[in-house]
Amino acid sequence: MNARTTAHPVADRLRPRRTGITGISLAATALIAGGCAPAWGEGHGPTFALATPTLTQGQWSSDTTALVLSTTEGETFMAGQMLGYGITEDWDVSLAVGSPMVNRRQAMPRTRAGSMMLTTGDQVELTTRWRFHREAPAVGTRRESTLILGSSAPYDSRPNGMKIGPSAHIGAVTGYASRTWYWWLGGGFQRYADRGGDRPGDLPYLTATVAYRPPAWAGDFPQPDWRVFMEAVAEFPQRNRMDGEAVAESGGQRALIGPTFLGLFATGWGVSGGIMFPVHQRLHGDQPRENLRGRIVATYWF
Amino acid sequence: MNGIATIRFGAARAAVTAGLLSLALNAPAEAELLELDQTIYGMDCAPCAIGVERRIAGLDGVSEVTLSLNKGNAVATFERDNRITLEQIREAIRRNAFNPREARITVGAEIALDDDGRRVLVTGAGERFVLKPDDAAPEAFKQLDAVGVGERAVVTGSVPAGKEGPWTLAVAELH
Repeated sequence: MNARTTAHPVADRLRPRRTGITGISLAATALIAGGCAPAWGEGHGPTFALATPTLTQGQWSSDTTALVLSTTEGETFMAGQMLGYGITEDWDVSLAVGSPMVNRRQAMPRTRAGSMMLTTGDQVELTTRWRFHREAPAVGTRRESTLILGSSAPYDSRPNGMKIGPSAHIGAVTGYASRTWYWWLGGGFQRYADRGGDRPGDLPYLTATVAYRPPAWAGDFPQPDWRVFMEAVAEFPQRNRMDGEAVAESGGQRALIGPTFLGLFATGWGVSGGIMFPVHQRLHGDQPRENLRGRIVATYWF
Repeated sequence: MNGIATIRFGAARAAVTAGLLSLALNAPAEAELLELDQTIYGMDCAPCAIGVERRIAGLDGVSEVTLSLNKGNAVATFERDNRITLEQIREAIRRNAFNPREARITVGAEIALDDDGRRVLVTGAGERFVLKPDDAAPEAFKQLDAVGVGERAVVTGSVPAGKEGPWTLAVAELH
C-alpha cells in the first residue's frame, strides 16, 4: 500500500477538527473504520482481550457495554448491545449492534480487540465461535482453544463521507482456566471490503491476558465469584484508503496494557470492566494519540 | 443324567435372563437412584455452575441439586419413583462442555443376577449397576450375601467415569 505523503483532499476531512456534527461523524467513521472494544460474551473472561469460553448448549446471554476512548483530541463514549446463543456446547453465535457515539472532540485512533467485531458506530455484527479443542484434566481446570469468525455490516454506509462496506474478521485464542490462575493468548485479523475506492485499513492484532483469583475471593458457588486481570492488546492497523489512495495520516502501531476485573453472580449476572493505557504508539502522520481506554460490561445469562 | 442337568441348568439360566429382562423392561417403581455426588472436571466460574445446575435441575425426577466450584461436584437428590439415570446426568454435564468423572451414588433396587452370575441392581429406568467390592470397605459387599436375589437393597458406592452403562458400582455401604 502506497501512502501519499501529502494529504489527500478527501483525507483532509479526517484531519482533527473541533466538535460539532462533523466531528461526531468523523469520530464515528474513525471508529467504524478502526473499530473499538467489542461486546462479546465476555462475562466469562477479560474485558478487552480474546478468551476461549463459549456459551453452553441452549444458553442465551445478553451483554450491554459502554466504552470510552480518551485521546489527545478528547474523549469518545459509546455503547453496544449483544445477544448470544449456544448452538452446541462448543459453538455459539452472537449478534451485536453498536450505538451512535457521543463524541466530545475528535476522531479516535483505529482500535479494536476481542472476539466480536465492532460494536459501535452504526454497525451490526454477527460472530460465531467454535471451541475446537477442550480438555478438563482436573477439578476447576480447563485447557482450550477457540476459533472466531465474524462479519460486520454498517447500517449507515456513509456516515461522514467515507464509504464503509462490510468487513470480515478471523481470530483464534488458546488458554488455560482454573480456580486460581487464568491465561489466554490470541490474535486476529480484520479486513473491510472496498466500497467506491474507500476502505479502512486491515487490522492485525494480538491479545494476552493473565488473571488471578485471590484465595479470599474463592468463595464457593453460589457466592459471588471475583477475579482480577492484567490485559494487553497490540494493534497494527494499516492505512485507510479513500478514493483508491492510501491516507497518510492513518495506521500505525499501538500497544496497551492495563488492569481489569470480573465479577460473576449466581443470579446469572456478571459485570466486568477496566482500563488500559498505551505503552507504545507509533502512528503515521498527525493522528491523535490514545491516552486511555476504558470499558464496562454487564452480562446476563438466561 | 448329564442331559437332564444340562436342561435344568439351561432352564435356570433362561429364567434368570428372563427375570433380568423383566426387571429392565418393567422394573419395580421403587427401584431408583436416590442420591448422587458427581465429580465434575473443568468448572471454574459461576456461569459454569449455573449452566450445569440448570440443566440437571431440568431433568425429570430431580428434587434438588447443589453445585460446588471449589469441590468440583454436583450433589443431587431425587424424587421417589423417579426414572432418572446416571447416564442422563453425565450427558447433561457433557452438554455443558465439562467432564463427568467418578460419582458416588445411592441406589435402591432389587438384587438380580446377570448372565455372568454377577449381582446387579437395575433401576426403574432400566439402568444397570454391576456390584463389586469397594477396596476400602470390602465387608459391605459381603453383607450383600444376606440379601437374596429378588430382594430390595439400598446401596451406596462409587461409579467410575464412563460414557455409558452398565456401570460398575463399588459397594461401600449397605443400608
